[in-house]
Amino acid sequence: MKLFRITNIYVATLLVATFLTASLQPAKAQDGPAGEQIVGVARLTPEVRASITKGLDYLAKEGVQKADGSWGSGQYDVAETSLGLMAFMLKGHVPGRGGRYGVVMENAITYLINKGRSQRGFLGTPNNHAGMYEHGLAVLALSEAWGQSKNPAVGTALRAGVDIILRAQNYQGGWRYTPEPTDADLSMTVMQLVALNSARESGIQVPDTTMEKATKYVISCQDESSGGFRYMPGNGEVGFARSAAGVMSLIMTGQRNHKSTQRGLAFLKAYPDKKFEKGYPRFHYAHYYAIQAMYQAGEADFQAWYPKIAATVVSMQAPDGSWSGEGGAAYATGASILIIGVPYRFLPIYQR
Amino acid sequence: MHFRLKLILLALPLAGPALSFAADAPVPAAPAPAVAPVPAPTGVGRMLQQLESGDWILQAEALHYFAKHRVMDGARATGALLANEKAGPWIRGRALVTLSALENKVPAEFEKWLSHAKPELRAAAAEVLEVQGGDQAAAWLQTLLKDADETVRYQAAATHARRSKEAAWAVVDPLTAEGTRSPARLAARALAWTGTDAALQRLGVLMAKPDQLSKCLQGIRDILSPKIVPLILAARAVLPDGEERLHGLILTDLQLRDKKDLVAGLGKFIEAGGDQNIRTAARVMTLLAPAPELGEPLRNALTKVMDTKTIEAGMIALGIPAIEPARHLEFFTKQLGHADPAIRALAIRCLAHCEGVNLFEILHPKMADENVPVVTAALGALLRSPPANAPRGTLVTYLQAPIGSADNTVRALANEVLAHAGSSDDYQPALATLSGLLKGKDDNLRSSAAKALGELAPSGEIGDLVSMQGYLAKWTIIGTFLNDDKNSGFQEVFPPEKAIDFEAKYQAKFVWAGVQGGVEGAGDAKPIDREVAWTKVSVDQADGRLLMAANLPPPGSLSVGYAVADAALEKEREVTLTIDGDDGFRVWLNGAVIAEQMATPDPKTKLTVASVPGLKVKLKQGSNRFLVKSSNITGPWWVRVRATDADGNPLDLRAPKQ
Repeated sequence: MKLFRITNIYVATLLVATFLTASLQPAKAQDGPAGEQIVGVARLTPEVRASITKGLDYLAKEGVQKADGSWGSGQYDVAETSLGLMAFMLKGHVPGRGGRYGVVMENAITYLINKGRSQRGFLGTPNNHAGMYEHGLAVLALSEAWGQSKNPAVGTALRAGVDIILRAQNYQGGWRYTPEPTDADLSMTVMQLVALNSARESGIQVPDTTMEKATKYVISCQDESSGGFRYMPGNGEVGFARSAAGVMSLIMTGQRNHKSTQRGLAFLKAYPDKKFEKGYPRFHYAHYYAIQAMYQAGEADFQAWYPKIAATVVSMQAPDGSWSGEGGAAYATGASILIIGVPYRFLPIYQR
Repeated sequence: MHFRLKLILLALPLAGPALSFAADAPVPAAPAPAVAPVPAPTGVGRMLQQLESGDWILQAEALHYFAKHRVMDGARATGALLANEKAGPWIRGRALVTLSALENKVPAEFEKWLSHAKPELRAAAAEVLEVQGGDQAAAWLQTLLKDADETVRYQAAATHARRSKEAAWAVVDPLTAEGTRSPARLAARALAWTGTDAALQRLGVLMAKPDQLSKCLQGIRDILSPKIVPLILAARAVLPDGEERLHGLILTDLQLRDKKDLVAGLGKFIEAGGDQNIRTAARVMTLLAPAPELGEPLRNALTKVMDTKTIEAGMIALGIPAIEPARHLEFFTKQLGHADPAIRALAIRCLAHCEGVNLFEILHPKMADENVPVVTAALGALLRSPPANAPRGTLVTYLQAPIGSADNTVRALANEVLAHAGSSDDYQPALATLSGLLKGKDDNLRSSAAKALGELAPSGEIGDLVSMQGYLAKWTIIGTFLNDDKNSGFQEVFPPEKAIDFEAKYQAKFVWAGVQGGVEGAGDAKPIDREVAWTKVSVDQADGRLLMAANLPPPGSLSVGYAVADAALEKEREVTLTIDGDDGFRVWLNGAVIAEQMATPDPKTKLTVASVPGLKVKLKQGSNRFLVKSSNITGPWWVRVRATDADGNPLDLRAPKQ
């Protein structure tokens, strides 16, 4: 069961559900030399494993998770709670089971469900430019928790959340800050696309046309010459973070061999190595997507990429186990664990 | 008349509320008039200035504003205007009406205005009594009805009708009888307020006269009785098509009326039948009242109609989304067989608005329609249809008639449908049918066929399509080498220009600075070193473009690249080359420069496409080597080389066999 959860959560949090099929095989972890654990294709060093454990312990601390089950400082609690919840699922912990972590996760799920109940299905913070982003993250987290949590309300909240996303897709195929079909941007669109894909894999019906239109929107944000992605079609700077998001979403929607995906990957690799440095703008956001894109790029690319980003992320961890970043401590901690925990993704489930 | 003034005059009678009470009943105190949202203080200040301007148009606008928003701060200035004997009598009359609306009663010393020497002020006083005056109004009106001035008498009659309804008929009848020369606005108002069948019938007659209609509409605009709607519709039905202004006024009036009244009126109008009525109802439905409940009556009425214009108007109404066109699917489908091609084409457009309908099924017979616009409409509808509905593997057969049409527009559209809805299963039949176009001289048909086949072809076969059109399809490319925003790299000689060695690798530099819009956080113009090597690529664009940026490492801007292609000929011959590219290129053939072109950005498209058409060169027997140097500053980056014979037929110059 635990191994199945591990595979499932990778599909969820690491947004590659396309590759999860009924023929899943439980992955096998092996002990490697000098205490390293070989999981899938990469080696999880003792330092990384310890770092993840410390991070989860931090999130599970009384006082860090609030009484209502949420994490955060008040501004982006839904996003922080969603990422925090997924960080636990990443390592195979199951909501409601397995002692302390199980309770922590169930409380987080309850918080998200209550949020949806009180807002007619909308899970984000209302009247906040990040509202729809939070909504997408929460739908993603709930779709992964569905079937694992004993809380029967997960499905209801998830369906309502998906309905809102479907209704809010604009004529270009994208999404924006509010749950209405107004304009669109790449960042918000990728978040909803990922959420829909995960929900779809969980069994929620999502029309093909919704996914196709969203995919086209993502491709329309690609810069023709560099292969990087802009915030909006033909508008603004090409960016590393948004390119990572764009590439990852294309891979997730089955466009791994699409020319746009390949060009986007080439852009990510060619981008200067300052992307690995501590303090790089939108560090967690960028690398949350980039590491997954690189995993799909192939063995050599992933092996060249992962040690660099893992070293930086581990070095950024505070003594109490937390990370800090633009979205708050729980957000940064959850995202950090999701970045360095990628090797938990087991083969042969993930076919390159 | 001054347009702004016309608007004001139309609006002024609206200042008072629409009241209704029986003639013999005690007249209740007038309720406070409906008030528009509180205006901004700046607006009030501006209007106060306008009122003092001395310009009667500006003053009229200000008075209307005060009444509409019930701006009590305007009362004193309005009273001053009323008292100003130097001001014109008409504007003073408006001031009287406005003051009455603001104070919600007849102003002080009202009798002075009832008996004023100027008829404009007496008429205004009569207008005030429409809603003010209480029990005294009836006595005052008796006097006004005998006034020497016609306008005053008619205003008094309208006021009396408003207050007494059908009981006013005895007064209104003689004033509006056939043969009397009555002022249309006030006569219409009096008749409308009276509201009896006889009065409304007479109003209908009055409104049927185009020269009276505008004034009538002014008079009845604030009388929101449901009985008025059919009269307005009837007036529209008999109004000649060329009377655009009057049609506009009617629509403006109908827009102000209660939607339920309008829909009910339209329903009765459709039920009455007749081409004019049905056509009018359909047009009003389309513009103002797309109510689904009117769809079925309209459709039933249309089945008895022969007039083409009426059927067209009806179908347009039934085809708008709010009427739920899918409910009328059968009707539209039947019209596909109409004798008039315009109706058939319209039916297709209506069907395209029906949700959940498989147009590929329904429109199949129309592929062979004898009329080009009908086929064009059908193909256009299919282009907006979900590709999943298209027949898989047999789409070419389905499109056989338009693909073989004598009309080039139809053929090009059919190719577009193939591109839109075809699948890989359609590729071989499409290739068999369209390959002739690829090898033909008509560039429009060639490009549409190439686009269609390009969509259907397996990625590995696009090169064949490209070769068939005469483009060089197999290239070996290298890059990127450093360029700058002055295109200096184009003049710099990089190693591939000195000698072509496909095994060689070179140290080159690139910068991120040239990407349109910039690259966030990637650094500035500082060059970065990297190794570049030759790569074999096949053109993967059916239009023959070799995409340099897509096939070379990023970022593709501020870059120079080289592309080599070999062409084999069995014997020496002259060929005509067309070379184009974005941004620019220099081309060597067997070591000699044959073309060089740079372009400046097109101000409209922003593209920087250079082109050398019709370049005649001699190719030798055996292998001929083309070397293309292509540079890019920013944006799209591609090159393309096409060979034709002297007559414009494409030459397939495949690379020599290794």
